[in-house]
Amino acid sequence: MSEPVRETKGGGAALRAWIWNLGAVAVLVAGLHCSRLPTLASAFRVPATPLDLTSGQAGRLWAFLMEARDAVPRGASYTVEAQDRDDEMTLYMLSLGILFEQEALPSSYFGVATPDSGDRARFVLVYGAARPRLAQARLVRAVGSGAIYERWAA
Amino acid sequence: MILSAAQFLLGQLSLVALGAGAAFHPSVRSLGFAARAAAAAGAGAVALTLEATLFSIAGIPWTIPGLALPLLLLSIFCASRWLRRPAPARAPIRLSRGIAVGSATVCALSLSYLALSFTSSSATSVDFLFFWGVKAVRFAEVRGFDAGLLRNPFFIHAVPDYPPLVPVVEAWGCLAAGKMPWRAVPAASALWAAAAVPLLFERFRRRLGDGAAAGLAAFWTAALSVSLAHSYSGGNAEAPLLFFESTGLAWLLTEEDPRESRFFPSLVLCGAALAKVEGFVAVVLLAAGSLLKERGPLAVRARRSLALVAWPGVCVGLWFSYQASRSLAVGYRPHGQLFGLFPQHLGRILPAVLQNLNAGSLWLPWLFAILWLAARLPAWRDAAPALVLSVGLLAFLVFDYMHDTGDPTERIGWTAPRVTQPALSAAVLAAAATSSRRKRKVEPAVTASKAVA
Repeated sequence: MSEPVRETKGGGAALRAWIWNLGAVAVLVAGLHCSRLPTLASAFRVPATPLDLTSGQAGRLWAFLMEARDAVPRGASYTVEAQDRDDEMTLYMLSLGILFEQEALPSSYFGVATPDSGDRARFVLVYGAARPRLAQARLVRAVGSGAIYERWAA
Repeated sequence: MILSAAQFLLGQLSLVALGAGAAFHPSVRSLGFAARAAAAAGAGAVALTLEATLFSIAGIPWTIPGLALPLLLLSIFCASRWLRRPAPARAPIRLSRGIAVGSATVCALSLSYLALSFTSSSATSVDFLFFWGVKAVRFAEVRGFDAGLLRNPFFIHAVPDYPPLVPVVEAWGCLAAGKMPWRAVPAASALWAAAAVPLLFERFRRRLGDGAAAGLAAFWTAALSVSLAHSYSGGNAEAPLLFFESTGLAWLLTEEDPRESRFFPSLVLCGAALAKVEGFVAVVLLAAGSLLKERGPLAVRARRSLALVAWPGVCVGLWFSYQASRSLAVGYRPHGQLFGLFPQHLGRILPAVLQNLNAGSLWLPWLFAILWLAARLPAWRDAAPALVLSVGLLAFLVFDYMHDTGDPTERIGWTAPRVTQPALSAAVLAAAATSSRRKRKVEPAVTASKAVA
């Protein structure tokens, strides 16, 4: 059995307390030195997206989806398209949380085209330039980084 | 945005009320107010997850009153029962002003840095936006686990087999806020780190003395705050996992009596197993370490260690029961065949893992812990649960990376800074456990209050 020893000053206990504290200061200083926060001011800025300072490109994809989400009615199916397959996959994954009241049908999944799925979607959220086959679709809304189209519009 | 963020955070803080009964257990009652509140929050998260799983199995929709009322009643029932049982008195904290101010300042600065990293979006987990948060918002929308979503072949990127604690807790926040405040949720991760601090301090007081316990708490807070920010852990399962594993480990390391109640470590290890797949691996490692640490008949030690695994096993079993009830694939999806390894990658894996152990602070916390441990090597048995967890978890991760058919370096870069954090926490706590100065004593154990008197 053991009994705890509680000391508040003098001897080894105080020395250990200071060693831990000095170690903590060293770690914190090293952490601040290596920090990804670009400036102190940036730490206090309210970000426009959850990814502003994590990934600029992913932040732009997020912003596009936030602009596009109101253009797709609740319950409607949609797909996402982008020139870059990685962007397309990222858009699809992000859209599942943003357009959670709609039905997502990916045009590709991990870089593999899934036309059986994506071609069934009524709305197409295009990041960047639209593909020619959307020429017949109705432009619902143009946003800064892309556009939303509706297929088979009456 | 501000209103929904505040409502979400209030929802997270309400976990304290949902698990308040745990704060009245005799083994927890002798802790300080902040530590008891933190214990209650952990209990609330575990209880909410189990209840939400049961509701989903039974087809009962999640609502705020429907989920909250049974847990509040359970808390009142437990509190009234446990209050009748005696608890050891809490010894007053005696700290020199310099150590108190120094430790508190480091803790405050570290947690502020972590909170600002999360709120400014510089440490947001993309996994939060790809699947943790997606599951939460979808579950809140359908008021239960969404079996259709979990079996969707275009949802496998979201690892639908992962255990449900984080999606449930975040969905609870969504129900409270009425929507998902995406930019604010990562900040809630800092609450888990903050909640661990008083528990670590209170438990290590009995082993290190108040001053060194305060110093240890400051060191742990600095090391893990920097690491959580560095590893983009805002909004994902890393911070809660760290809370559950670290506080459970701290409890086991600071046990003074082989008959001491293991209510709290059993509870938080349930949380670890429900937070991430590797949480259950950690539970098994902690139980093995506990077996090594304890003295006495092997049968008794084995029974106490197995008890640590039993409740988390039941919790994971409940999640698997939900999967079975909805004809989903039951269990966790393996990374290839168990022993289908590619040892030729080991030459790349080891340097990559080592490189990613820098924890955002130039490897200093690891170096500090290793140097301390090296100086106190004969006392390794006191720290066995922490050493087994730290070394075992790193070995498990290397074993996992060896399953990759291609070069795993890129995956290690994504995952290792996050998933090695419990190993770092365990290494720090191991150093603390071996650094204590204890007097051997032949009499039976005494309560904390008598020990101080």
